Amino acid sequence: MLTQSAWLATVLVIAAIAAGCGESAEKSEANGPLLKFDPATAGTISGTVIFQGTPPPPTPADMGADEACHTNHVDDPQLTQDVVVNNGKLANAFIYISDGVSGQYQPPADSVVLDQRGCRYAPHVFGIMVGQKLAIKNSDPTLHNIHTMGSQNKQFNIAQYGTDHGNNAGKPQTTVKEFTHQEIMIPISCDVHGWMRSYAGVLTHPFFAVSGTDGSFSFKAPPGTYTLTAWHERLGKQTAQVTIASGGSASATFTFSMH
Amino acid sequence: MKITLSGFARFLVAWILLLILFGGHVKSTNSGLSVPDWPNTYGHFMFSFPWDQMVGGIFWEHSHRMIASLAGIFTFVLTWWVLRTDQRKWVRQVAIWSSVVVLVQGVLGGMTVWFNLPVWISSSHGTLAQIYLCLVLTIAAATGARWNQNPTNRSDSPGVGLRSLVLATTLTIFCQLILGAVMRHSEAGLVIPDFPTMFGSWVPPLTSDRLAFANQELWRMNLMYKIGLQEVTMGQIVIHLLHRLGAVAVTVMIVWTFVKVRREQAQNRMFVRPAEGLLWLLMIQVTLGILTILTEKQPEVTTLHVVTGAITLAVSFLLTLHVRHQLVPPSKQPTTMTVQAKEGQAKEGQAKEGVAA
Repeated sequence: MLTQSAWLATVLVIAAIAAGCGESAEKSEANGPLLKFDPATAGTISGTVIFQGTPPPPTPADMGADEACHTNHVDDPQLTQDVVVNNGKLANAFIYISDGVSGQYQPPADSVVLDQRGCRYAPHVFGIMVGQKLAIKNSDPTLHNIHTMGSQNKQFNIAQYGTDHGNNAGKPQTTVKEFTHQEIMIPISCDVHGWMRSYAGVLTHPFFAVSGTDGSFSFKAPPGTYTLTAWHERLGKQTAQVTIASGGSASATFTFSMH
Repeated sequence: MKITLSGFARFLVAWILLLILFGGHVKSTNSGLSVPDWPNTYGHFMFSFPWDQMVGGIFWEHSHRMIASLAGIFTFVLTWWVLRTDQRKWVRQVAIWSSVVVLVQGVLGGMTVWFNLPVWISSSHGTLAQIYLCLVLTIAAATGARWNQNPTNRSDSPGVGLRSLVLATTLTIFCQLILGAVMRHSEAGLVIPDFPTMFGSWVPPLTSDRLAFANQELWRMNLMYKIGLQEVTMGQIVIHLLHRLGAVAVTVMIVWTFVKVRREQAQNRMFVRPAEGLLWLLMIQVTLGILTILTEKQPEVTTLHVVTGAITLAVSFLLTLHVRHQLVPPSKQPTTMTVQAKEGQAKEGQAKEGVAA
């Protein structure tokens, strides 16, 4: 009798837990028809991201946990990517229009490619539109899991075999995903290799860029007055106001320092 | 060498502690999702996963799963063994519950993977592990040769007796482990990064201004990035503070238990040894807790803190079992007056019988 009751209780608890955890089907944020961006009438927003002060010294990422990680590196030791500064210019800042754009734009047909090579993500920071395809590729001869940790988008955690796996025959395995909600930023990590981390900025419009190794950024946007936000994984956020006319240009400079 | 039931149960207790060690390290190294599928491992049946691919986080997560599977099998064997050989109803019930709990625990572990480590499922998984440990420990104790070594009818002291005190101590430690699990899985372990002060102050950051200051400081110290958060919430601060306060409560209870055992039961080694053990464990555990903060959650230190917590609960629970088995509440002990009254009634009866004869 006790055993039967215990089993029944167990099944009920598990069913309740499963029901509680189940998420309803995610819906896209689109309200009304999707807008098309016309570059011909657009202006250009550009600028530089500056790092003020002495940046933290880059440290070697400890990749000793998996020998296969070294296969795709010729320039060991690999350095951490959280603060990359060259001549006072800050790379990997995500700059986007955070206010002033109305409506949701049609995502491009091209996919954004996120590659895993040498147990690092390339790119380290990227922008993507709601509904745009994200092609996640594993170029390494080892297993990776890809785990997104967004709060607005449904999290996923998928496995990818390495190029050494029999089914892949030396070719990278690719998985295609997409995000359904705007979110700044979604951390992406591999829990096999704890140092691997990437960040996705998901927007309903295409007006964003990531600062390059020289700290510069540039993207086109329709005429208007906007709030620009620059986000950095360790240094936080900053904002600036810009106004651009059709065919014109505007610039903004963001200056970050250690807190 | 003959394997006894109690010996097998003791082995399983040690195995469960190993399981908790690996489970703790899975969290300490953030490896919980390194194997995205369950019950398979990257599509392989668990025990056929290639050894050469046990790298990085996979090593900890997959090892944890294999140790857990064996713990499940050992528990079913233990239950079967108890049901075959032990006629005590309560021991048989504990054996059945240990099998039920290990099953639920396995499913909870799988659910942490399926649902990407929600706080309450992960915390429940960590908490149920402690209950599972205590159930198997009960079987190990109750089937051991020393279970009936001492008389079991001695009276407990009046007032707050040892029976109540050891139970309260065990429950306090258990509550502290729950708080620890919730704190750990809600990423609140470093939201107050200094000890014994809190952001340099003795006043906890429980106002919105102090919370804003705390967030600012965590960014400045680069801990926000390390924790993987954008902002620390009041809920995280509160759970962290409760865990610190819980440590104070556990300290008081263990010291009180030790003093009472030494005063009232100094001759009983089955009480004194675990009480002394608790005192040592308390010192180690507090040190590890402080080091967990000061080393910014260095994985090995954090895992040892988890395992020592489980051992502390186990020792306290064992003491509780023995105390409540050997001592009876004063109200159930025959008093001198009742004994005299009974003797008087007996003499009266004998006298009447004599008259009748």
